[in-house]
Amino acid sequence: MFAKVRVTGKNEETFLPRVLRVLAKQGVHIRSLHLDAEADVVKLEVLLVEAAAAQVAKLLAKQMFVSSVETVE
Amino acid sequence: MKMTGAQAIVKVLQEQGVETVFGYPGGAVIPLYNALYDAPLKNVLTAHEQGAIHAADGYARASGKVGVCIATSGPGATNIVTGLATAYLDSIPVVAISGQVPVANLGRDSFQEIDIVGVTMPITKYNAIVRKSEELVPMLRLAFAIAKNGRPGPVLIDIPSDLQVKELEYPELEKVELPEVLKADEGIIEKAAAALNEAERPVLMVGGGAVTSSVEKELIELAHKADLPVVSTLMGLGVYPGSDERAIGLTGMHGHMDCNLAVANADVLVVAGSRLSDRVTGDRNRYAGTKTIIQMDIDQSEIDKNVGVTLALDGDLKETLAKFLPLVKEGKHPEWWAQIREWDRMEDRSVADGSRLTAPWVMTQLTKTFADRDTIYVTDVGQNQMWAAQYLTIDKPRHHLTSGGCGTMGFGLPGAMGAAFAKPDSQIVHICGDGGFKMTGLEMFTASRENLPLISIVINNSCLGMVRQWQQLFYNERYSNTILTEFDFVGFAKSCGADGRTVTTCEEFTEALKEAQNRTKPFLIEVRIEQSDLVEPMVAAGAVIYDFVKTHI
Ligand SMILES: Cc1ncc(C[n+]2csc(CCOP(=O)(O)OP(=O)(O)O)c2C)c(N)n1
Ligand SMILES: [Mg+2]
Repeated sequence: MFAKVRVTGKNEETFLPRVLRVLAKQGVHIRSLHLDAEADVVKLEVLLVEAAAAQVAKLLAKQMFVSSVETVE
Repeated sequence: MKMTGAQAIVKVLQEQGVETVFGYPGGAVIPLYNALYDAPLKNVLTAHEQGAIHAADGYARASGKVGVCIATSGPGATNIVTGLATAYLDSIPVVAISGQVPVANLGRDSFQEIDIVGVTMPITKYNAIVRKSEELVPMLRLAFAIAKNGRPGPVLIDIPSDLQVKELEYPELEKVELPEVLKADEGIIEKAAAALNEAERPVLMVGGGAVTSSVEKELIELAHKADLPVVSTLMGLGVYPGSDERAIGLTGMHGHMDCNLAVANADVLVVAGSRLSDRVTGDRNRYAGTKTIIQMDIDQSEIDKNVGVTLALDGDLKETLAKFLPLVKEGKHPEWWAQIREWDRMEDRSVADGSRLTAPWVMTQLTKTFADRDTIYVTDVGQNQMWAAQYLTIDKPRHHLTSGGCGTMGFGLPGAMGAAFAKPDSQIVHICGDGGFKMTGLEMFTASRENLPLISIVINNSCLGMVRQWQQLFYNERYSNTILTEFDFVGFAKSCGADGRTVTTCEEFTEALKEAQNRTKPFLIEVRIEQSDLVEPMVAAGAVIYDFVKTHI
């Protein structure tokens, strides 16, 4: 079972570690990860294995400078 | 206006209404301390940075304002880690300013360079390093805004020392853009009110979120209107007045029997600002049963996190309750109350009857003695904390301060000091154990130097009581490193410039408590109690919430 999470946020130096920390704390395994940064905006698409994607999405959404989180099951 | 970075930091503090800061100087904050030297701010030097961060936290808990702490880079910054974690797990607004090595030395393992942003990322609501002068003021303003917005929390801003020296142009105050707080769905509010109106065995649970949201009036109105028994988590104590007849007390691992049984047997449970942590729920899989749980929380990620709830009301409690209250009907539940009173009679409270000196009795005496004074209790961690939570009567929010989520031994004394700065007209009573006192006890020196009339109650059971209790009950009485030897608490207080008494009987305690009042310095009362006294009731970790441990076999 996989779940895809799309995170959009501000291109800040700690954006990626913040997202990865949330995933690591939830014990989520990452299958693949794709990041696009443009000027001020960063878009990240993460494919997760066996994840409680809804809770992960809520936790990501409350990180500062994350502007949106979408989950595609 | 041009000024140095350090002067700009001070100006932001003033702009944010900060009156007191707690900290400890060092190489990477000398420029900041230079600016603070003649700034119109109270700058409190603690004995240790851990004392500074807990004091800032205690200040915030007592006042509702943002607490501020300053530490130097490297060891100074790592010394505030426990305090940040403590504030984080209890959602307390604190801004920590750490000094950092100059920008040019970053990333080179320079002297006292620690990646404190990396270290504290999981235990702050937000943190960041300032890399350019022009970022300094906006980042600090953002730090204050984030710390207090929505669900509060600690924020750390790491400031390289050269940026404190460099001149910058102080920017105009701008509005800080922050994420919007959700509003509870009106349809669900209606459903929740309908469920409560039909309930036969309703219970209201209040948590730390209710304190943050200042909903004490709304909660009284709700409980009185719908005739609700009110239980409190450790973090919620006081937000619903403990002396109100509908307050039945603490629920959770050391909750009162009637409280836990009421929760377990309720058909509708209204949760106002609690994350339903394991210490509150016991076995979370058997917590909900068939009851309807209505969870009100400002943080969406708390909904369904630990216990699946029936009706989720995500939004600020104040707004949610304002819409919920008019839909709630007057109710009466005499049978339910009779049942709760019967459960209450099952609990043996003779430990507090004064036939010998015990911590529960001490708590009842403190409550009586200070009933007419605005008194803030600041407790440490362990048995002393649980006895305080069970046997003190707290009638107002922000009058029982404790490290709930992190359970940080050593929080009490510096936390009490922070509360004393925030509320100089209140009586501050610090309650701790003989173990926890030693962790941050040197702040007694700070409190004494600052002429804070704290009353420090050290419950001396000659052991790390709470751990010893688990060893007795679950580890075959193998008291591995939990039995403590003699320590001269009163002599220690005296060496800090304070005073104190050791008491071994109820009469001596009463005398000492009289002596402790109306002073200009801290006064420590060492209360010697039996080593074998246990905190009861108790529910074992992971057990269902009404399965009380049998301690007398
Ligand atoms: C910093 C820290 N270290 C260890 C613990 C684990 N711990 C929880 S309660 C406790 C015993 C506390 O002893 P004491 O301060 O004497 O209080 P008592 O339980 O005896 O009232 C310990 C060691 C903790 N909560 N915090
Ligand atoms: Mg002890």
